[in-house]
Amino acid sequence: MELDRRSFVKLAAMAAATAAANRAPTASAATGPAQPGVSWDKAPCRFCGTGCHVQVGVKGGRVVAVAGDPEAEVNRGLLCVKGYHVGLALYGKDRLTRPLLKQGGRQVPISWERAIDVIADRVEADPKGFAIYGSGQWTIPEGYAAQKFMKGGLANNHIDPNARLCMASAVTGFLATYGVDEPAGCYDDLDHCDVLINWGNNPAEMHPVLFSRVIDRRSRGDEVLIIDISTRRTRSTAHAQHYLEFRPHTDLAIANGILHQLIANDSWNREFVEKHCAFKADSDPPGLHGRSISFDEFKQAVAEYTPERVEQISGVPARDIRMLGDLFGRRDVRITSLWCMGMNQHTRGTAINTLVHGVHLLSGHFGRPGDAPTSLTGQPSACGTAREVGTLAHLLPGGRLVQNAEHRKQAEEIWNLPEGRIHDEMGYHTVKMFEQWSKPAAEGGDISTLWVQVTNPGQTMPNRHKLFDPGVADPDKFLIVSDVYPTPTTAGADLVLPSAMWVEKNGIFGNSERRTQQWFKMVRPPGEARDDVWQTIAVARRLHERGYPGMKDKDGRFLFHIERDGGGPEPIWDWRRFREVNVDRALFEEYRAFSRLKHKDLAPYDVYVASRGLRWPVVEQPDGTWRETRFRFSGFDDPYVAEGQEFDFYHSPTKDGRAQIWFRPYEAPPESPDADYPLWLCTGRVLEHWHTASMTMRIPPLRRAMPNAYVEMHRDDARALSISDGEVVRVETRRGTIDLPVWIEGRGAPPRGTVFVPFFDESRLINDLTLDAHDPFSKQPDFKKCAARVRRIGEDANA
Amino acid sequence: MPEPAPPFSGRLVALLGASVGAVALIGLLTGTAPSTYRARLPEPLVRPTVAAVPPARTHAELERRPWGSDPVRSGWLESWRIAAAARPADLAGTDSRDDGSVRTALAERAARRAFDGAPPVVPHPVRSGGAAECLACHAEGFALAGRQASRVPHAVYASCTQCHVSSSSSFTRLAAPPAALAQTGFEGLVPVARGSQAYPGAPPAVPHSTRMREQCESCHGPDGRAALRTPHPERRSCLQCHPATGGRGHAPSR
Repeated sequence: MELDRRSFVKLAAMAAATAAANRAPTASAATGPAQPGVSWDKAPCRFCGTGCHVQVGVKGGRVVAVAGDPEAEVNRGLLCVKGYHVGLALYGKDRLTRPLLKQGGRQVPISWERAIDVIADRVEADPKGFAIYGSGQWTIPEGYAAQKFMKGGLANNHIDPNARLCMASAVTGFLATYGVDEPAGCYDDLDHCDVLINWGNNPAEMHPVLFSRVIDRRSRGDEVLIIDISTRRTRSTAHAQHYLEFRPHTDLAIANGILHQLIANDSWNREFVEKHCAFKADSDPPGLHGRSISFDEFKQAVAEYTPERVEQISGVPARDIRMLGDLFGRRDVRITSLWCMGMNQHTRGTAINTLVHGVHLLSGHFGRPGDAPTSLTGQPSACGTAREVGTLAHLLPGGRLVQNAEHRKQAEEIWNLPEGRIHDEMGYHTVKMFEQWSKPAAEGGDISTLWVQVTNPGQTMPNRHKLFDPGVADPDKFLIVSDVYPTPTTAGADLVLPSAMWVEKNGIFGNSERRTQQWFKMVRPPGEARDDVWQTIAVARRLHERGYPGMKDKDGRFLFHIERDGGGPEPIWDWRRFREVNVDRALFEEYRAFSRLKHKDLAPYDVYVASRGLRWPVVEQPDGTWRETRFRFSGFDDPYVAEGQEFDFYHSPTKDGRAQIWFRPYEAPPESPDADYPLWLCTGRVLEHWHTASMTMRIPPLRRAMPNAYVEMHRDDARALSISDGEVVRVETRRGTIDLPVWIEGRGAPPRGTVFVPFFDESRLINDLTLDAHDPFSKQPDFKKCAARVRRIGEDANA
Repeated sequence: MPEPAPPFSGRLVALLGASVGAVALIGLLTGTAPSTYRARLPEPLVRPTVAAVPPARTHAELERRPWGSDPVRSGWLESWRIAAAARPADLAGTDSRDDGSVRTALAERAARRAFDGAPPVVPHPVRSGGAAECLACHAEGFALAGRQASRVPHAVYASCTQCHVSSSSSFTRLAAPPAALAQTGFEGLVPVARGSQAYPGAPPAVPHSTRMREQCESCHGPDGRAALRTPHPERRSCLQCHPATGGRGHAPSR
């Protein structure tokens, strides 16, 4: 009996410890390896923003296997087909292994010494015309080093990431609503929601692990209502009970329709709104924070969006708008909204982002597990590096603005720079940067050198013929590209630098749910490939050696000074000695000082080493442990909400703890189908490929499954043009043309009047056709819609 | 004062004797009884005769009336029954697992996987529907006309295509020539052919991780490749005797 009681107590304690381990940085030990000679270590996946943890099997200095990490909360041992094959991304036969310099029209191998000199020459010749274009695939230390080099060293703010093409509208949406960036909820919402609404989103292919986290609940007996609000049928539609098909760009009308219904039915959450919300509308001239309005003004503004009117605009039946209004009016269900590029790549991207937040706020479906408006990211560190490190043209680390004198002063203090070093004007955002690089110097194109790291703008820039090709052709313009494989961008480069990737280097990513994830180098990079962070530091050091004043702090030390044990600097610019110290750790510890202003507290590097990622704010507890935060602004979980308060939007744009519910009208898109170009063209992704497929096309199982781009077309549209399935046709817009095979009722099924083309295929560049019109606040272009026509090859367009 | 109990009471001896007898009887019966293994196979409703073979359908008919829409008359269910009836009568004792055939079987298996532990690719076109389409064949698994539909070896997840993609493009009528295969220098982990044994005659350990391979029958059951089949399919609790050395996880926590 005594023994029984003792074992019971012991078991209970173990259960409690296991439960605690779910939130604690250290987890229980795993069992030994299955295969002799294989060592396993953790890393976040290299691909999307979900942030699955994989276990990487290494044998003989090479990655030989990958498994889902059962200890990871994000994916719980499961991966998607890209994640399972991520290890193969290292071993394409055409890895870049030597620096290449264009000489006489050919790219010829040169030494790293020479390559670093070439970059230093370009900087010295025109420091103000030097720009860096990075990405949400930069690790946090890589983005941080580039940021410090540009804004702190060169006093030049022309640094922007491809995240501008990806989630800039999500950022402006969060800022305009909550006054601070990034989702308040997290993936736990997916375990608790009763209703999942996909807004122009296809997570079954783009965030498969998150989507299956929801639909697998059904296999376990949970009821989850999935509503797919989309412009075409996708694999996600197959799992949805409701498919609401809207005309491109009219998602604003749908959101306004829900706001209207909540007020018309008097089912809005009066208590939540009166305590925690305020109302806003566009100002004149328009600004990110608009003007405050009263509830009555708001009510009047949405009054025209009756279900019938919304049906007229969007094509979604009035009864479905009522259904959405009724759902949001209920208090007994938990609703999670998910969105990604459909809402962000939108000339009204900021507007639709704020509207969907507004729907959740007005209805009070916010801040309880399962009640969340959640924006997903497409890149592994779009949140960590682009948004938190602030590698955008207008930001400094930790949510600071280059135009804010106090913020510049704080950055100068942390970086130990002389006062006034950081320039007070915003740099060029992505589209502007490429415009200024593509425009001849004589016509005011003042970007002379562009250094691209970890991305492929030669494939992803919209309207490529305008924004990429002219700069490549101009002999006065210089393009430096750091990458791992040949791409359309390296093809146009004057200098190509071979980079180490993923587990060939140390790294830290930040995923879509505020989770910061660390990994260690496990294998050697091939040939002379080197870490991007080393490349940046080596250029900074070369400039320092040449006496460039900006490369010194105010005490005369090198900008990237790491103090050696026993005194003196660590010679991290010397590749042979780069790994004598953990540069990631040193940079992260410095960067961490920036994280408190916006309450995005980061724990010490070593805490992340011992975890499968932690969600900020990560706050130190009295016992010395570090606690992550799952639900921001919610009193039950967020340590920055005062005791006893249910919610507090403590970064409110109106400085009163209130989140903003916006009215934003539907407006017509910049280009719509007409008699000459009668079809909508939508672009996007597929399950098998990630981003521009420079990695996934080199992974045989993925390439075999999806070897080329195609154009999805409705059967009736094809029939009307006498086009058969599989026939190669010409797709045209006012900006370009491309030949593609037709796929009828293929992976996705667009309605009549719409065609869809994925952008992964570098031999079929759909971005020759897309529009560079962009959102006025976020500067994010609209890749999702423009006017196009399709014709049979060999036939006259007017026939 | 109570009388002390005798060291061995007559009743206890009788009980012991009865127990030993019962155990021996059970042992005898189980030892000599025929295997009940095939009981899981449904009895065929229709014995396959020439007349009973369902008429082939044209593709046009299939579109109007897919397999399974009228299971009484024909359809895949019936085909499955025919296939089930055509199995070898006695699976027990089949042991054709010499090293060469094991290696061949593992190589066949490896051809569909980038490395040991990778999700296999699907050797037929895949449509965009939900799990039901996949589970129509892969829930139980069956063999038909030399083709093998493997039984799902792991818990059923609802999004099969998340992990399993087709081994070739789903463009069945693609006009452009197929793209050249990607060149890769990746050399994946190869499966270990045999599990280690503690001593000669001991049950071999499972030579692979059991993560996502929880249903041993999927590969080692009667529908698995001959060289990988268990010689004793009547025993159903595999891990009772075969230690799963692979464990669930790999990377140690720090």
